[in-house]
Amino acid sequence: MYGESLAKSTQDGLGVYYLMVALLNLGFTAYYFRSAKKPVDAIVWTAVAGLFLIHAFANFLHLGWTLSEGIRDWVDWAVKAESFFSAAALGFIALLAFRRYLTLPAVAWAVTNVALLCAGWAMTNANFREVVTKPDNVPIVLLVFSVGFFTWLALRRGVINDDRMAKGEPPLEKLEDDKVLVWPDLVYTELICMIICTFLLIVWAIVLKAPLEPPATTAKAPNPSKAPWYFLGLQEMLVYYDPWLAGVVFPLMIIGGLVCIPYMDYNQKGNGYFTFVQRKFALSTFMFGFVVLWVVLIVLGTFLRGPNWNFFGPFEYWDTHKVLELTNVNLSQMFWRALGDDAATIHWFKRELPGIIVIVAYLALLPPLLAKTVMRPFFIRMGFLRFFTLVTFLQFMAALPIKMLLRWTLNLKYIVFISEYFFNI
Amino acid sequence: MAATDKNYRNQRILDIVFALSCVLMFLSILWMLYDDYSRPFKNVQRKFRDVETGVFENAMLDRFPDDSQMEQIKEAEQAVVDAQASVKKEKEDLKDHLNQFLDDHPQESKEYAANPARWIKARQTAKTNLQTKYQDIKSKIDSKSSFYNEEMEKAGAEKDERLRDLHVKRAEKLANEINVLTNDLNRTRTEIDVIVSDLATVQGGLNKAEEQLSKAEDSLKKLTSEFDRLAKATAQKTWKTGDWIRALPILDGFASPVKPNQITLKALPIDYGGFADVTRFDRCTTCHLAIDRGNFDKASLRRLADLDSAAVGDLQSKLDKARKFLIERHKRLEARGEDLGFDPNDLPKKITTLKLSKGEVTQYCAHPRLDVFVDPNSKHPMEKFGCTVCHAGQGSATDFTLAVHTPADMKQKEEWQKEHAWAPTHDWEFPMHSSRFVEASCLKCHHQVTDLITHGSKEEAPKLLKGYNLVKENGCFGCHEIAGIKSGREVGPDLRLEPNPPLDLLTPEERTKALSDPTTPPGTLRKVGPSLYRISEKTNEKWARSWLNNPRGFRADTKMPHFYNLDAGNKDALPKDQQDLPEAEVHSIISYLFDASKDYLDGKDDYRRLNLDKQKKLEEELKRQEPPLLDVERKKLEKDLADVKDRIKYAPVPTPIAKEMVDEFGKPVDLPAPPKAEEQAKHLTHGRQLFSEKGCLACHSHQGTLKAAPDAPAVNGQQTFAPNLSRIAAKIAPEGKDKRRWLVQWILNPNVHSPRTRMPITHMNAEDASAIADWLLSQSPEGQAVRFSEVENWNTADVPDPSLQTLANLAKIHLLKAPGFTQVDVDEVLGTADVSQAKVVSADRAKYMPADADERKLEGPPDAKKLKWYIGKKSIARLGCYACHNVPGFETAKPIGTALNDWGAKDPNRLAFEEADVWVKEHNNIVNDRSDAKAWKAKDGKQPYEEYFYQALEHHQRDGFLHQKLVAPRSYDYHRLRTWDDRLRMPQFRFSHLPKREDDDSDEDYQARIDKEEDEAREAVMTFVLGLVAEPVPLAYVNEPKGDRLHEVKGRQVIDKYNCAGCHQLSPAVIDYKITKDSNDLLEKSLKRAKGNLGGDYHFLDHNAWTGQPYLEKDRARVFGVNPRDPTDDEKRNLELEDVELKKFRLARALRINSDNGQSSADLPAGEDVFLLEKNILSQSATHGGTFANLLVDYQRKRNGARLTDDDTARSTLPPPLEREGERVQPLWLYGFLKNPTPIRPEKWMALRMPKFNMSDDEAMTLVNFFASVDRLENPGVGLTAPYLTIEQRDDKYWNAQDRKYAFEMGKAKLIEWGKTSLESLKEQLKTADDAQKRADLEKKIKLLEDALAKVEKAESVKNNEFPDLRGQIAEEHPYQVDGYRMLVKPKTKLCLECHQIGKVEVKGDAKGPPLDLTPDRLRPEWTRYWFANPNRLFTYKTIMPANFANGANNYRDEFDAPSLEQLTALRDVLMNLPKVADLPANRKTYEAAVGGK
Repeated sequence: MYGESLAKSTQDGLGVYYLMVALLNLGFTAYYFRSAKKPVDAIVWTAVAGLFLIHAFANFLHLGWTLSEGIRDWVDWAVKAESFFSAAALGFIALLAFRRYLTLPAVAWAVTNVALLCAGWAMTNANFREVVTKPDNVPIVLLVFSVGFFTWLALRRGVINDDRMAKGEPPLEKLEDDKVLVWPDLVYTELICMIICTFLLIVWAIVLKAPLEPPATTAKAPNPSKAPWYFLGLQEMLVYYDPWLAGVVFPLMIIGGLVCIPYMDYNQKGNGYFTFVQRKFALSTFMFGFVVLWVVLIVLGTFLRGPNWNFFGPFEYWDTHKVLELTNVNLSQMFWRALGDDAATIHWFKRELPGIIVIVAYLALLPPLLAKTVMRPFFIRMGFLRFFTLVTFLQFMAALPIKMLLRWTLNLKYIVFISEYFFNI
Repeated sequence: MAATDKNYRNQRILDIVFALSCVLMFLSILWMLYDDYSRPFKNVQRKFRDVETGVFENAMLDRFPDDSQMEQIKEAEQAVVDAQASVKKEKEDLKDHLNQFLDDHPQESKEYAANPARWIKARQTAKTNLQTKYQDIKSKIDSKSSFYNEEMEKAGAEKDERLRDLHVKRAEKLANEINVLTNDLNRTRTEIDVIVSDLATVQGGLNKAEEQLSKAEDSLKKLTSEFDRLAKATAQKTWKTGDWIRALPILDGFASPVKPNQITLKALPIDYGGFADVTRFDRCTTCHLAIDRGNFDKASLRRLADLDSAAVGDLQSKLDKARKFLIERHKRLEARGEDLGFDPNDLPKKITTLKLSKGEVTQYCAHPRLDVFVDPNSKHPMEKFGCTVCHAGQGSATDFTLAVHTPADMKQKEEWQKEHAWAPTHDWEFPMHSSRFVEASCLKCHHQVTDLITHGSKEEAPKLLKGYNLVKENGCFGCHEIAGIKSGREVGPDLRLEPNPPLDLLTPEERTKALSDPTTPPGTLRKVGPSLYRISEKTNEKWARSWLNNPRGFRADTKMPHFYNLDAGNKDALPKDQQDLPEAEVHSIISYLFDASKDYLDGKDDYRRLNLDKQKKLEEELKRQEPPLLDVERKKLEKDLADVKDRIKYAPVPTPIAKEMVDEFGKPVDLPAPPKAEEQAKHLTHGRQLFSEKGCLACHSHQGTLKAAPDAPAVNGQQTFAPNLSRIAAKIAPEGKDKRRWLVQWILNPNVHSPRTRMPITHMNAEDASAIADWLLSQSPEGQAVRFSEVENWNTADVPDPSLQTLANLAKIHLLKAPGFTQVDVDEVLGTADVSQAKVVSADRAKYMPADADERKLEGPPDAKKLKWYIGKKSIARLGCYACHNVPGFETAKPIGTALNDWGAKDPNRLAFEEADVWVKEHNNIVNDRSDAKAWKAKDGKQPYEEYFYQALEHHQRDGFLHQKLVAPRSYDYHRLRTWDDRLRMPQFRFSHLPKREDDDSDEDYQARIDKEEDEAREAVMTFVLGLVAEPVPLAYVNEPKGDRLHEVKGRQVIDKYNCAGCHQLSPAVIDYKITKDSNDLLEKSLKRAKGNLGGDYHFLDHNAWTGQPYLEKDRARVFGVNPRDPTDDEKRNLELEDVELKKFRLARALRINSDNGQSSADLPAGEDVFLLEKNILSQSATHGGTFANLLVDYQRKRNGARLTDDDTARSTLPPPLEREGERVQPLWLYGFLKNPTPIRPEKWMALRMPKFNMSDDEAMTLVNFFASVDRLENPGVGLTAPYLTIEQRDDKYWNAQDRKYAFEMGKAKLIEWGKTSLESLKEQLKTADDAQKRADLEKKIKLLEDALAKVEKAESVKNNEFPDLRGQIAEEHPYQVDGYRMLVKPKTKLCLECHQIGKVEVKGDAKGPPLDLTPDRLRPEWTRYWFANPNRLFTYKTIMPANFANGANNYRDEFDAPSLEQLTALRDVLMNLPKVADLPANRKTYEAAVGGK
């Protein structure tokens, strides 16, 4: 809704939130002060904690601080499907490229603080709050932070190990024994984890009751109709691809690809310890697939796709009546229009020939080309069959971002559009 | 690594973590259990246990015997003890009895002498055995008898003698056997009898004593049963240890005393939109635990919650006493080996005190209308109907919010938010109806709507009924069809326009055809506005424009809605290029209407012209030779031709009023000349008198009658059925024509102008009509006092004439949508930017357009007239003017609005809410609550708006949308870019009628009252619309009134349609009255007070005017009364109830009054006054109808004070009440009267005559059935037959019997008189007899009679049936008929002739009553008899007809020698067969004497 003032209970909740973040920062300060003995850093983090404390008090005093409309509007304007996804992809590349600096604890903590602060501010907006706190969506919020944390952890350890190995030292993991006792080190720990998980699930179930939605009817589908959260990435693909591709072929390729990884992975290094340098290709490719093409799309699908599967800015009201122009055109239409002909009047085969050529070229010509050029070392080490399997899977993986790019830049709807046989690519 | 190595993690830390996690998990599990234990419904149920205890406790203590009762109880207990003692004694005495018996019967064995019980048992066993034996023998006899019969039948049928003998032999054998068995049987019988008598001898005393004991116990029980029952309930409801344990956390999962309750309704499933229907589970009773328990009323619960410490103290001491009393009694009973039925120690020791919030009181209370809902004996038992079918909401939820409770206002919302953390939820498409709209659900099953009116005028769903009437009144159905039938099933009320031409105008065959398909019957409703076919005769364009532009500006309470200058559609709010369009549209519409009207009057209207053209074409086509017509073609052409001819037939060419005026019979009349100047004033006064008296005010009102003038008393009519006529002089203003002429014609015969009008013909002659017309026209529209400020400036400047360019711009918008017109075409026809560049629509182009294309009119260069015609036609089509008015050119147009038959179930997502909430926020002062009168004000020029509706709008709820649509329909255009013809079309209605302005009303107060009424009316309309869900409810649930009830329900619709209730009172008020001790005392006082009037009355047991009905419930009486009044101080003083709020009613039906102890009852008959305690009136419905009659009583007295000396006499000159009309008149007569009303009562006496309504045969029949059915239902004892009845008085057999009966019962004087007559007539016969035998017989007879007569004369008195020969002879002379007739006609009696005319017999004084010649055809015999017996009982006011035949009065013995009741019966009989009876020779003589020998 528009410009609603903040309820007192919401402000109290935010106060608690800021207070907790402040406490975390104080803990960080204590760590710097006592363990790391870096008083300057400690002062900086005390200041940060102070910033959050101020926020906490402001909220406890019910001052009603809200995010200014200008910022909200700017964010809504700036966040689009294309910008969001591109930013995520670029961010991912930057993360890998500048991992050394970005994974420094202070930097990572700073990033986390900024994220938490932004989240706190964003929570003052009712639309944002409604989407984020929906019981269905809470796990996705957790997902964002947990994926972030584990990515950081892996990269951080990787960076340390890489440094060590460059110096000729063994990786950290090798310093420890490689065997531990089943009891108590495994079973006992597992038991504790089980108990804690049970505890958490019970508390979660009590506090955040399962949301009850309207009864199902055939006459009225829910709008938006969303897949289960873990399939939202797939659902996002439906925007760009025909159902038979996005719903059947791609998922099969994903499963197939995952199954094939061990058979295609010729790199013997990097077992049992974190590293980046030793498994650059494997890590970047997998993480691109998982973090960017899966998690990012889930986040996008959860928080930013609203009624009619329209894209909504984080602070935008999910208006059922919002209409976005759909001016997408098929490749054949572009092609024949450029030649001064009307695609609709041409026999489907002739009409779609350009698209078919493009697809065939992509699938048949690109792998040998790659084998000859950039991926030559792979070809040599993997042999014909393994290399071509790998490249084909990679091509399918790349198909999604490529199609996205084409859609955003050229408004391309389908490369091949054979509506006569329900075959569209 | 070896096992002895160090662990990977620190074991101690792991242990600590493990311990911590275990504690956490344990705590979380406890939390979980607590969470489950404290589910809201469980708390509710646990608390209810205490509420139950409290309520029963209070009720028990209320009935705790007081000291005097305690005495009685003690006595009764003593009686029981005594009886028990005597039983005991008798038991002891048994031995003596037995010994005595054994001594008396020495043959008896003595073995049981010492033990009577064993003797009795042995005897009883013997008796049982013998009885078994007896049955055994008897069945054998039965069986053998049947064999015997069979053999005998065979023997009878057998032809072979040998075989016959065989059968006979067998039969004989059987007969012998039967004989033996019969002897056995008798012996056994005797043995049984002996045992029975033996037992009686020994046991007799004991049996008697036991009987005594059970009687004593019964009377004790009667004294304490109520208290015992409640004490038992209290004890049972108190929490006991076992209950506490079972309700503990965790344990409550097993055999919990708290658990969800549910009603499972397989027969009433929920339709979840397309899936298979799902069984409905209503768990509402989980929290509403006492919903079906009458003693949990709100008052009891509040009392429980509001106990103060003093009251608690009182109750506590009472409770202690009660406990003690019960425990002692329990002990006594136990000592006797009996049982109280419960343990009194279970009773609570302390008084239950509870805190109950307002919400909890509602939650725990019973349904407020258990007589109609929930209760198993009501019409909607809970087990069959559940809850959600009416209330909606999610029945399966056991949580307050998830059940989707809907607050009725902000206050309730806040309370709920606090108490239940309530929040709106959108997940259930049918949230519970808030109490505002709960009546909407009735529509699901009550499709007739009027079937929600019970008992005459009791409206069970007043808001819904109001909405229904408003929808009908305002003609919503004209645009929004409300079809009651969906795919062949009745799903709701059916409100649709009648077809054109209407059914009544069709021939019988055509009508049959139109009605042939039961799944798509034609609509039945007339358009609500007047026909505009002849508007050009009635008024002028300028007036019409200002009217259309602002109808309420001219007449504040008109039904015509506003189309222009509305909210987001007003000039300032419109975009620049549309600002001139409204004016252009107004001009165009009016211009079109007048052009079309003029064409119509000339017989050249398009409809006619096009049909004539088509007819010509078709006829030519039919004559075609080359190529020859195929059969198929011919048939089609012939059918088309017939259709076209029909259309022409039903659209005859009118005769303009200017040419000819006609009266009510269609005969031409001349317009009377205007009065001369000196007679002007008298003429106008006469006009005003006629206007006031002749019934105009039953439907219309007029400011001119408000102030008294010489010879014209003031009448403050408030009727709103028809327009307020105060400004009619300004409205009727035909250009260059005579206003007077039109108005006189309208009054004489309104059907000329508007054939489907509901205005009746009032039987006026031209002079009277012109007087009314002249008076109406003399009332200057400016001079009228206005009722409401907005009306003052109606006559501002005319709507500005639009420029040609504006017209062209508007025409372009429509032309673009015309078939075959492209933008290029349009630009060509009307110019790209400038109309002056336009080219013409060429004749060539026009040729290719369809014959009826409107664009044809644009042929040639554009000019204003053409464009206006074109725009006007398109605009009327766009705005749907023809939904209410008959508009030439729109004979076959279809409704423009959304069908409403399932609007109440419409998915809110499919409603375009647009920016209406923003509009409201910006343009209204949002006020929390309507009830806060101080806040309810316009602020900064912003009208107040209820927050409930604002939030509903904001939350995109149906009711929010609907409300705003009715308040400001165009606000949905706000902030929307729309072309002119895409803008919303819904006009803005005012639903309420303007309330009466009181003298001390300030403008502000008055405005506030107007707003409030409008809000209420709007909510009523909304209730109706929200109820239209078209849910195919299972047929078993749909209320389908049948028989008399159906007639009643349908009749009500006709009554509303023609406003019968405007004049006639139709049914009394129905008051549900609570009987308590003080109210019963008051009733007895009323009865005592009426005693004086009851002498001389009869008591007809079968008639509800004399005999009251038993009460509905033990403590609830239903009173039927009229004329509610506050009693005078004197009356109050006489009743010794000076400080009590009382209401006085005149009873319309008898009221049963039970004496205080309930032992006896008496009836207070109808017509008597009854006093009721206001606080005991549970509900009261208004008297239905009679407004005009009530209004004019005072006027009539002022006008005719000389003859109308009191109110009741004045009322007799006004439309009569129609209560008991069905019982009164014969159906056939009523039918004829409704179709063609003729004068009944003398016109000189009456103020007015029943007008002639434009009513169809079916409607008249419906009304006839209505009256008969209502009385059959309400007064079943009378045994009314309808619609056909036989009148036994038309049968000779009846008369012969009556003559004979009369002859055998008459007294001495009459006997002598009639004996002489008989003798004379015999002598007369003797004179003419020629046969010798006959003469001899006659002479003998005469002799005999003379002797008898002599004896009679000598006798002191005669007994009935004495002198049978004489009486037999008299019977031949029709004494009953002759004396009866004499009673009727003989002037001496001062009976009927005082007021009624009979044939030519002059009335002595003023003729007041109807001529009696009407009676045989008009009145029903039974009613007439009751009427003669006591007219006051049957009428709702004190009639001027006297009770001439009071019970035991025995007047008129000279004329008719029988008790009064027989006299009046004879009079009635004579009237019922008047022509035939009057034709008897003796009666002809009487008649001639009466007319003075003429």
